[in-house]
Amino acid sequence: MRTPPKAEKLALKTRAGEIILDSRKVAFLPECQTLLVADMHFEKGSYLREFGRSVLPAFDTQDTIERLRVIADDYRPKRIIALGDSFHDMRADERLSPQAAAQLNALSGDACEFIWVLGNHDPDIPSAVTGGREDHVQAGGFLLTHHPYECPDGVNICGHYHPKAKISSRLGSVSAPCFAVSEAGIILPSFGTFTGGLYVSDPAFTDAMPNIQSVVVAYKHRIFQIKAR
Amino acid sequence: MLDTVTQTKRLSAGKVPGEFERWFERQGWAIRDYQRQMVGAFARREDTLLIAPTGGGKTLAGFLPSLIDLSQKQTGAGAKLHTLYISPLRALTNDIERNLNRPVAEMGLPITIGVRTGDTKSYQRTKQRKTPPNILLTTPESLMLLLSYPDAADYFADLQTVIVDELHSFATNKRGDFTSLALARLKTLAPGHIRFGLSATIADAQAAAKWLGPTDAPAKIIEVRGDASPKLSIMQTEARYPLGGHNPRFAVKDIYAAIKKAKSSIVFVNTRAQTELLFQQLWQINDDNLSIGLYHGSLSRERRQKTESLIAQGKLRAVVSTSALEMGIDWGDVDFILQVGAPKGVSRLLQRIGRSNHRMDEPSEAVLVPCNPLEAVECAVAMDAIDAGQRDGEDYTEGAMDVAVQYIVNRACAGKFKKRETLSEIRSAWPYRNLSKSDFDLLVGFAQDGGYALKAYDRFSRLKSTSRGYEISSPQQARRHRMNIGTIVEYAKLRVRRFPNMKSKRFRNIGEIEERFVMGIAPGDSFVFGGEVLRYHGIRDMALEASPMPKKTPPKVPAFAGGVMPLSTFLAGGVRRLISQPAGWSRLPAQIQDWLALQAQFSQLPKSEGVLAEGFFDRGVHVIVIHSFEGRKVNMALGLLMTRRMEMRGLKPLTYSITDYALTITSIEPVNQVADLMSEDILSDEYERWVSEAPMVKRSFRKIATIAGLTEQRLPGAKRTMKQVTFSTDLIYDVLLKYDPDHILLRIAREEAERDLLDIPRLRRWLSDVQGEITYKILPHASPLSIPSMMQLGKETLVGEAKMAILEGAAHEDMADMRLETVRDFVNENATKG
Repeated sequence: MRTPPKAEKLALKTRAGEIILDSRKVAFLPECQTLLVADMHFEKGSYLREFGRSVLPAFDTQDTIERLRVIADDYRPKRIIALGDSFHDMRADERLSPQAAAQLNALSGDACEFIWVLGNHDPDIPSAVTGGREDHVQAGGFLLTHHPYECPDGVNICGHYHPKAKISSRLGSVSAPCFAVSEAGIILPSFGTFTGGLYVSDPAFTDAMPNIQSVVVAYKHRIFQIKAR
Repeated sequence: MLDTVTQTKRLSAGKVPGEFERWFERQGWAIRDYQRQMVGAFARREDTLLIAPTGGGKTLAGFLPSLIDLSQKQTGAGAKLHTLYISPLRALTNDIERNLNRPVAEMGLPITIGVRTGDTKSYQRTKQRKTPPNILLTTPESLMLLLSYPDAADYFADLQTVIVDELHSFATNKRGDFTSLALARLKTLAPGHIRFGLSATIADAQAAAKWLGPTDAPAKIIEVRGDASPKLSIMQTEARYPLGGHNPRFAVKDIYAAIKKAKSSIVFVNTRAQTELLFQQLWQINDDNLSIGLYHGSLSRERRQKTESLIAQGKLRAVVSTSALEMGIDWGDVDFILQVGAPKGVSRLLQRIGRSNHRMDEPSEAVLVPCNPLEAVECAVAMDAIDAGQRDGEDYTEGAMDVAVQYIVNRACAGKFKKRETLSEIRSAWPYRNLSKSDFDLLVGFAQDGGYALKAYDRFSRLKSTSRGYEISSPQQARRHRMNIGTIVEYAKLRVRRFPNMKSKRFRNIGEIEERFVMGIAPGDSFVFGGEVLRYHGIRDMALEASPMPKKTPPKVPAFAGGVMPLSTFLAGGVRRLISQPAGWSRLPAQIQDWLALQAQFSQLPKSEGVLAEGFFDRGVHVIVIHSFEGRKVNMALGLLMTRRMEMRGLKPLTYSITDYALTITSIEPVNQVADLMSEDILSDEYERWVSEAPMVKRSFRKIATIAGLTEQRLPGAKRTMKQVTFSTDLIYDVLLKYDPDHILLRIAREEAERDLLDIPRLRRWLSDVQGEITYKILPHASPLSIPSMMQLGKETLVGEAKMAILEGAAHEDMADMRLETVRDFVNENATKG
């Protein structure tokens, strides 16, 4: 087995302070030792099996938790904040396996607090899962939410849109998930294993972030900041 | 001598009743020997394959026994389906209906005929299910749908004959596998019926007869050869041949002149985009206002039917068409065929030529218009093959497993089944004769709940297993399955709404266009569709809205899927032989001979043994062109493996692209020798690792996942776009590989990628053949032979690191920009302070 290359990170200076963007599609706030992850969509696979009536393999929850665990081991944060849509649907708690709930709960403990910011997919978090439930969290100059908010002086960090970008050149083009960055906000890529993306050039996305400055593209273990055109 | 019938021994003629004899006489026709033999075959209840040239009354021969039998039976109320006709094309069923209705009406026969395809309106479907016609004309997909209903057993109980038309088009692909399973099911439901297969071009009649009959009971063969061989020539033109690409613009004046001379012609091109392109080009020089039409599968049904009837009535001087008009349809007065672009296969070319002069005893006439030098060589080789009576070989393969999954679910929709019975039913379809019990169990397991090694924590299953057998778990499940029946995985499409002007609120649907194309155009851009230039307004409700563009700006041409037609191996070999032997060049246009002579002077000609590779620099990158002449599948596999080795050797490969003839690889570092890159061990060293990561396997997986019912193209109510399907199947593939690497679908995807996209066994043989005979010419510039292969602009596949390089490039440029902006900010800040 080849060892995977080390995940690349990019430190971004914002008017609210520094933020680390990680090629594994998470962000880290060094000042308050907080790990941020958005749109995990746990139990989307089982949702599609049950309600989409398909024989899809539902290994996505397991995979998403496992990837998050590796990242948490790496940062050893004081807080992990999930920026909403962590669970795919309201009835995810009926399908979440006890093992998965235990693995999730093991991520937090005395040294690390877990906070669930509630999203449109998950106004409720399954009761088997520990951690705080919040509508939003203020972390220094950073306002952490699910949907984007106006943040006149600070920086809003949110999820919801699953941004991805297409970068073209003479050789061809590459599509990959990205962080969308403007002066007043950063939209995180979706983290869930079975989640798709929305191009930042899509009108629905442009409405959400009209003043986009750059995209920070996560491709394999690398990360690239590219100016928005 | 027309009715040269082989294998006449036991195929004696059947009795044709007087009223039929008289009807034939009134048409001025004599009943042909083989038409009588088909009547005999029907009486003897023998599965029979009829191979006869186009225009010989082949279709009538297929139906004649049924018409006779029905005319002698008590039909009317309570009668059930007697004859089922399966056609690969919807258009063909309409045409056959017209042609059958005539004798039925003129003889006053009490026979009802119905058409059942995807185009059939739902009230007609309901009516057909309640009172079946005596003869039903349908497509494989519609047939499978009929078989999915619980009343199928009753519906098909009295079936006497199944006619499979254009059999060659089914025999070697998934749609054929699908059809063979439907035939197997029919045999269980109505054991007494017989199968007739019809075809004009089949290379291996024995294999086709095996396919048609149940396993181990091949059909009898009646083969008829026509005497008149077609008159073929390559278009004489003063214009210079383009060195690459497929654009017929250089010859458009000659094409127009040829159309003008003929009474009525069909101009065949190879892709939908080319129909639009050539139609525009012809229209621009149409000074005589000839009525020229265009026809391809993306146009709306109304538009297609209108064009069909205009041709049938002889109201069009020419129609520019894709292969959509290639089969069966009888276009009365067409007297001239133009083939623009390479023929790609002998059988295909014959099929196209057969559209003209629909009388077997007169030769058809056709002119070929190659659009680059290699196409010209291919045309010459195809013409020689036709003169020599040679055909492309068909490649009969084992039945596809994803199709079998779909069949199992289809079977479950119709009612309970026992595994043992269904296995033997599937094995009675010839492509599936070797299906093992253990694989069948895996397929049923997948059909049931996915059959994953890691059992998920949920309750869902698609099939319910009871003590009396398996059945579908719910009506919704059956509905979902029925909406996804078929083996053709389509790209997401948008309807095209044509508004008369920009302000109008009224529109007409004029066809469908691929979503992919729309992503590349902006509102206000112009594009051609359905033969006119339209201005793109925007997208609303899954439809593209546009109105006619008054000014003639250079429009974009939409890209349609399925553009690439694979070259038959037979032709590829012929092209290589002809190029390597200057003695045979006299058949080629003078310009092409010059081009080959230049190749010999500048580099060298490929020999009939070994392989020629050429290396040179072009626009700052190093290019290797390997002239394998082995077809796309071998070139694709070689490209994947070679670029991998080049990466390991530090040669920094960037892209590779393939044609039927050659593989082109670009790299940053120059390549001084290729023997190591093409040694046989690339298959052992790199192959294993490559297999699980190759994008080709993902591409196969995408199709398989749809056909096997893991993901769907159409959900009841909501139309899912292909974009979502594409995305999620890639993710599913990754997850399966990680958590259930031995899963049946992964195995099928690998096998299929190897079979359909990359021919590994053939690559292995070829690599072994050329060892020690690899000639590598290092040249100061691209050679004449390399230029057509290099013209595959924008069709390159990026190699691993090239994607990183694109992102790095974009990021680097921006870093410079952003730094400069920071400097400006500093200066501005200082200025305001100061």
